[in-house]
Amino acid sequence: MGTKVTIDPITRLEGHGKIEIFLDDSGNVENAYLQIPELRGFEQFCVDRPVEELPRITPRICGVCPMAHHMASTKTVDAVYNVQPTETAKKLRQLVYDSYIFEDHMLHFFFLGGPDFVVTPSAPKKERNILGVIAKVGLEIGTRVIKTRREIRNIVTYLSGRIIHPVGGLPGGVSKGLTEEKRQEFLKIAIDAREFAQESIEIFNNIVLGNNAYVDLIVGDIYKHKTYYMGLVDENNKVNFYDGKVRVVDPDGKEFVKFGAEDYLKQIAEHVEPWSYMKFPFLKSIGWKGFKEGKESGIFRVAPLARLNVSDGMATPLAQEEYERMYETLGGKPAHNTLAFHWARLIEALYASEHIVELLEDKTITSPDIRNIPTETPTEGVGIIEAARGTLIHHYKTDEQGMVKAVNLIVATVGNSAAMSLSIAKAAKALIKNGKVDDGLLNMVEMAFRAYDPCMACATHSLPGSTPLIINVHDKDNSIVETIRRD
Amino acid sequence: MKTLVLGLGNTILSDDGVGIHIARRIKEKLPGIDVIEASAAGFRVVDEIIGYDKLILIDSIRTKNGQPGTYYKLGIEEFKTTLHHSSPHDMNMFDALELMKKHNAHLPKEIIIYAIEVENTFTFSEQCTERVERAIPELTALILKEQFRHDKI
Repeated sequence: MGTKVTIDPITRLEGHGKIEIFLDDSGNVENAYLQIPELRGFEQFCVDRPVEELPRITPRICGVCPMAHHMASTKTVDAVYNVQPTETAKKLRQLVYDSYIFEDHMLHFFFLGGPDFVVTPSAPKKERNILGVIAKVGLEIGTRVIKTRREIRNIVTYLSGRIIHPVGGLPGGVSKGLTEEKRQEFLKIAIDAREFAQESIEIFNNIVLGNNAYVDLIVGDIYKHKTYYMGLVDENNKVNFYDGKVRVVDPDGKEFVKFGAEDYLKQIAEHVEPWSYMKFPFLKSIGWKGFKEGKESGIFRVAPLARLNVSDGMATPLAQEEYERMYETLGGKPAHNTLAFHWARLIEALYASEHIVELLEDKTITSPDIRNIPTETPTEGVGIIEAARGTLIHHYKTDEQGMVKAVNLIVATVGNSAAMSLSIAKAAKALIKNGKVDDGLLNMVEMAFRAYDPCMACATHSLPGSTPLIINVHDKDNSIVETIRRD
Repeated sequence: MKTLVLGLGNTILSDDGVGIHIARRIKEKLPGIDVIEASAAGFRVVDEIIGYDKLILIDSIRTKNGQPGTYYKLGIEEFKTTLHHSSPHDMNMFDALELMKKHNAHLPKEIIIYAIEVENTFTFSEQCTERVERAIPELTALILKEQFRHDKI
């Protein structure tokens, strides 16, 4: 039996999630996995409740992306009642949803991923935080991030009630429309947000792409995996967060399959490992071939870079320009560089802001026709949406009274669970040689992990806890010989 | 002075909702005060508290060898030890507060945290476990008395 290295990201929530790295007898990495404990009883909790309550219950699964669950759930309830939202309701839902994506992506780039990217990768621990980012980009940019986020959040709050516990979505529509006065007010905010998204890409160009150390990391082998990719696209195969079909491309970028929400069980299966409660989704027709990359393995990736990889482009002009520039820089499509998730996230934020502007320039968005009242007997439905962190699937079955009988969710972070294990293993293999754990391991593994912006809250159906990272190096007798910790 | 009572947690995840249960009871007793409940972390929590002078935060906690139902009054310096102030993809609340201070946000000058040791935060349920349930009226009474000089329960 070899040595085991344990990275425990959430130690204060006992057993809440950790990274296990297994070494072979010569002290080199054999494999690495992400372990998540199970939260029990979500389905039982939902069973025998009215299905229209689920858009209010499911956002509570996660304190980070409640809007994604709310919207996925709302779409699923539409499907259960076999009712389509009105055109205006669809526009309003997209307005709210793009606002959420914009706000979430900007928060991630500047404040969460920023410590990896904006501050140099080798920066001392004490600078690798948000205050280090502000020191680098300047107080003015920090103020701008805070102001723009607040204003965009106001759009969500206006249309959905509280941002943390949204209530705007109803089967067949939304609960609140937009007045002409508010349309004009929000349009100004959206134009400002679009400008800021462009400036943010400039910041990325100057600070990240202008630094060879970063470029080497982005294009280097440690953070590269040739996998399948999955994401929603519109009828022109352009990125869409709210609606469309799920498109999967193979590691060469060729379309592998395109399917509607109702067919998700035909395309996706979930692999179970005895050491983790987190499931590992894979493409059913390829099969589970272990934690391996390549065309023969059914592992796929979701989230920003995956969405760009499966699409033929962005539906808005400024984002399209940046899309082309990114692929030109990375040497074509698909891009397999995990750290390019950060770049793709900014391009998506720009697209979201452009789309918000488009929606608000359309005066018909103020139409009072915001709901189709359901008339059919509820049965079963599937709703798919692109959460900030990837493809999110809700599936409900009800009785004739609309009482829930079965619930299945495939959450975004779980979509990347197998790939995250691959990435962690690759970073660990590069940094642990002959039993010697490099001091940079913690940062490098964290960077592999954080590019996906994983949400353990979602993956475990739990709320987030604090995140010290701990690496325990175990010898062959399983005793800890070395501990590295970052709080 | 503008005071906010902020209950943190998740009311559908057993003991995780204890902070919100207590905040709701406080609101019942003192309908005039501002009470917010939130299932959020880090930066998203800080968004809620801007504009207030005093913050009374109620949350769950799990400490080594802690007994479920035990409760503590903590200061800001102990922020990092409660459950909901940071997340794997978020900054912790302490950093978020520092950041907002740099940007001259109107933040509470006084922050008091009440935290209850929890037992089960892994099972979906609207009920807390027995020992945590028993502590709810006790801590509610204590907060009302200490913070609002309200003795009638």
